[in-house]
Amino acid sequence: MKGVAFFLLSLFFFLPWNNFHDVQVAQFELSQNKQSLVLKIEVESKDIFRALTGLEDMPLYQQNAEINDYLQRTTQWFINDEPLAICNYTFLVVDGHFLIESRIKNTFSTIKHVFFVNEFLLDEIPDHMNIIHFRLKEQLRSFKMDKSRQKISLVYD
Amino acid sequence: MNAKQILGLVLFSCLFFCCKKELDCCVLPPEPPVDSSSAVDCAEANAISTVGVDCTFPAPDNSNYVETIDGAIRSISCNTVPNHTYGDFRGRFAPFERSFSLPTSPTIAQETTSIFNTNNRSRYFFGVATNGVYFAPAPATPFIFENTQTGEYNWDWVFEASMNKGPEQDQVKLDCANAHSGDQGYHYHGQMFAFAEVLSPGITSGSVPDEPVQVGWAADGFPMVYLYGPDASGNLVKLTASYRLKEGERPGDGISAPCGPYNGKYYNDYEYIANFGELDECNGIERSITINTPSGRQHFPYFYVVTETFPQIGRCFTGSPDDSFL
Repeated sequence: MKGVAFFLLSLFFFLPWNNFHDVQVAQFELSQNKQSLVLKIEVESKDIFRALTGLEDMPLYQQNAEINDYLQRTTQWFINDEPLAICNYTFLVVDGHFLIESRIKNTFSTIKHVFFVNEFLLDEIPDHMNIIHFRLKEQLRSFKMDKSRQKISLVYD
Repeated sequence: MNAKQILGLVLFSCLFFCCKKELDCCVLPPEPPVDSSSAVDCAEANAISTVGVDCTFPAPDNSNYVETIDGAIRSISCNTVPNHTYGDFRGRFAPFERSFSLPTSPTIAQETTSIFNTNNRSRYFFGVATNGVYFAPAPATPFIFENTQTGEYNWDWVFEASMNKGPEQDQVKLDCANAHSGDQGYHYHGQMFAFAEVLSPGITSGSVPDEPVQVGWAADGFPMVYLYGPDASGNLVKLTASYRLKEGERPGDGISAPCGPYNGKYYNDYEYIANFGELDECNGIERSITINTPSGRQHFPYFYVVTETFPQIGRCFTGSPDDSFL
């Protein structure tokens, strides 16, 4: 019995567990101009390599395809309750970061409601947070999303 | 009687005597109504952290700072690598090449310029140290109060980095120089103790230097000195800031804006009181100073001071900041 207790206590001290060193941040920004809606994502390469096993060893084109698939699985955008199909991401690697961008045609005469579901890296990295900036209707609003907040809803006048 | 029977008897006795004493005692009390406004724990949300991260790395040997003067322009190129010990909490430390331009003979402008945009987001770096590390006293996301229900950042309430130094979650994680590494290189958020010690050993523990110690240049071209500057008679004295903590409680509800007593957690917890100290609103003073700069001995009509107390590094410019600090 004492042996079991000692073993469990050892696990507590020596196994990896969720600590402060794992706080990671990725930034998303959705902006608009007359022609386009522009989504920019910036994430540290080592964070995404940690989340997607084997990604680091892939050639760049394959990395991009994997990250694109992952983004499709983990993010959903809705504007005025219509789902937004964001694909055709472009990728750039700068200073240890992936800079990811997509432009889609702005078909909305006016934006009244934005709904965003985001699970990006939340399952894979403990304590990860995503910071979301909306540059819409001449306002800049920023939100924090994490494990406890995976959906946000914005209403514009 | 075995152990199970004894346990059952004990439990039964407890229930019997409990219910005999007061008939409704066995009924669980109803859940208390949840009042979201009173559920906010202001004390917990208001926690400050003044003990930072250890400097576990030795001074790098590749710190680079080159300053040249060409006519009216002082040009600086650097790599944000410090010449002192440093901490690297997340393993993000890396050189970051930067270049800045400054006027060699700065002048005082008609109006001051804030380091913040009108929406309170950081706009300018305050300046650059003479070891190539830049000054960024105002933190960005995620060090902003966030609405506890929607997650939206409230930019009226920006963390004061020097009061949120620790390694804990949601803290800024500053090292022994009140600095940390970010996407744009290593930078100072407050008093740069470790660098000041390199320039003038003992200065952070009370040794008064023989003459002003320049730690860097502000973005408007005026020099920044550490703690001490000349008084009106030219004697070297410790100069003090003119800010103090506001009194009382913040007006926020704890959901959309912070509540609790003003304790320095946020930049907005402080107020400027003219003539409370010697320094002006930008933590500088219009007074003649002659200092040893990396380009030789120079004279200026105005200088900034890195002070012991808030704001430590100024948050506005008396001159006109150069766009290379945007």
